[in-house]
Amino acid sequence: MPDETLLKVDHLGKRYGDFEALRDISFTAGRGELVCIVGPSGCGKTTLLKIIAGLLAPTSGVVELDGARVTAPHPRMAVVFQEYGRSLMPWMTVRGNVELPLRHTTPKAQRRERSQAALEAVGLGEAAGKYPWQLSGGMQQRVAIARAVAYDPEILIMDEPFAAVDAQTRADLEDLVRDLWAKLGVTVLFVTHDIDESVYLGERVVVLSMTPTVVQEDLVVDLPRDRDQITTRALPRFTELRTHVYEQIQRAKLEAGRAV
Amino acid sequence: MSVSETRRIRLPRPAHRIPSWLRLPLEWFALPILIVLAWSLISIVAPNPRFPAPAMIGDAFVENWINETFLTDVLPSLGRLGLGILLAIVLGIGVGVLVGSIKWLRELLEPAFEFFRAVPPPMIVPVLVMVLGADDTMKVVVIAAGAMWPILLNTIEGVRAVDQVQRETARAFQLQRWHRLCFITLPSASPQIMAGVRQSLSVALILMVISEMFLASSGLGYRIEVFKQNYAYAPMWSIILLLGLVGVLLAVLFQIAERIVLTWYRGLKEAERA
Repeated sequence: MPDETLLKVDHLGKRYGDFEALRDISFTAGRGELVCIVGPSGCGKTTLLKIIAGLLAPTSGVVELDGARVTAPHPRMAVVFQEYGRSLMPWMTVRGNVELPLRHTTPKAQRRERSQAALEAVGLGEAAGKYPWQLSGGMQQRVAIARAVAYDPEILIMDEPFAAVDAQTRADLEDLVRDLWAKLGVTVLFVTHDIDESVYLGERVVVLSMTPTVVQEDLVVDLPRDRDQITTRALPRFTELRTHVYEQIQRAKLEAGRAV
Repeated sequence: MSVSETRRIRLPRPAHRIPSWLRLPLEWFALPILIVLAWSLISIVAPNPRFPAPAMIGDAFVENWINETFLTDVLPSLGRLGLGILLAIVLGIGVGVLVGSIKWLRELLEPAFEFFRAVPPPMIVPVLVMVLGADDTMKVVVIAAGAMWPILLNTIEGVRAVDQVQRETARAFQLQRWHRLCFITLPSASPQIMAGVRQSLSVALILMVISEMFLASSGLGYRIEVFKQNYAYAPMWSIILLLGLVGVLLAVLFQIAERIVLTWYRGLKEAERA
C-alpha cells in the first residue's frame, strides 16, 4: 500500500434535520490507490461521495486533500456520476462534453489534443463528433469517464457509475477502470453497492454500515495487481474476500434491524 | 469496443403514393388553392361587393403593394416588427435568465408578472401613445412589450428546469458562470425558449398592426383604416392577404431558426422514443 496519504476523510457526519445519514466516517486513500466503498443500498454512499467531492457540506468532520481542507469542488478532483444520461449535455457532441471543463483552463488546440487522447483511452476515439444520445449507455458512461480523465485530476471519484448498464458492458467498464488506473497512476475512489465489483476492482474495500452510517470495515484486497474477469473471479482468495465482505454487509443489516 | 454500436435513428417512412417532390408543395398549397377556387366559384354564382372575387383581391394586391407603397408602408412596418421581435427576444431571455436563476428575485417579481401578462397587450397602446408619442419608438416598444411575455415566462421556467445532475456536473468541474450560462443553462432551456418565441411572433404581428392604427400616417394598420373609411373592400382584403403572407414568412424563418437551435433536441427525443 502506498504510504503517502492523498485523501483523508475524518469523522465525517451528515444530518438532514432529525435524520442522521452519516454518523462517523473515517478512512484514507493513499496516492495512486484504488479504493472501493461498498455498502447496502440507502446507506448514504452518494451523500458521502458528494461531501468528498465538495458538492455538499458535512455536518461534522472534515475532508482533506493533501492536507488541505476540501469545502468546495476541487480542481484536482473529477467526478463520474451514476446518471450518465443526465450528466452529459445532450446539446453537445461527445468532444464538446469532454472539453467543456477545460474551456476556462486550456487553449483550444491543447483542449482538442487532450479530449482526443482521453476518448482514445476509453476506446471512443472515433465517436468524438457524435452526440451522447447516439451512443449506448455503456458508451455514454465511457464519455463521462473520458471527460473526467481529460480534466487530469489527481483523484477520480466515481459514484456507482455502472449501476445502470448490463452485465457484459459492466465487466468491460470495470476492466477499463483498472486499466486507466494502472496507466494514469491516478487515485480512484469507486463507490458501488455491488460486492463482487468492489472486490474485483479495489486494492482496498471500505465497507459501510446501514444508516446512521459508520465504517464497518476497512479491508485490504490482496489479489494480484493484474486482474482478469475470468481468472481473478475464480481465485479462492477472491471468493474468500467477497464472502467476507458479504458477511460484513449482512451483519450491518442485522445490526441495523436490531437497533430499530 | 468499436463505434459500430452507435444507434442510427431513422423514422419509419409512411407509405405514400404521391411522389416525394410533390408532397411538400401539396401540403402547403392544396388547401389555399381549394379555398381560392371555391371563393371564385361563389363570387361568380352570387357576387357580393363585400367579398370581392379572388382575382379582384389579387389585382388590388398588385395595385396597392407592388409599388412604392411597399417601401413607404410595408417595409417600415416589417422593420418595426423585426426590431420589436428582436427586442422582445433579448429582453425576454435576458430578464428570464436573471429571474429564473435568482430565487428571491423570482419570488418578488412573479406576482407582478402574472399581473402584466394578464393585461391584453393592445390595451397598452393608447397609454404608450400618450407617454411616448405616436412615433416609431412607441410602435417598437409596443411590439416588444407585448411579445416579450411568452419568451420571458418560458425562459424562467426553462432556466429553473435545468437538470440537477447537470448543475452538479457544472459545479464539480468548476465551470465559470459565463460558461455555465452559455453551455448549460441556455441550451437546456432552449426548447422552452423557442416555444415562447413561437407564441410571441403572432402577438408581435397583432401589435404591429394595432400600433399603426393610432395617430399613424403610414403602415399597414393605418392603410386598413383608410381603406375601411373609403369602403375599399378589395384593398382591405388585400391587406389581410399581405399580413397572412407576412405570417407565413415569420413561420418559415422561425422553422429555420428552430432547426438550427434544436437539432439536438429532436435527435434526443427520437432516441428516447426508439
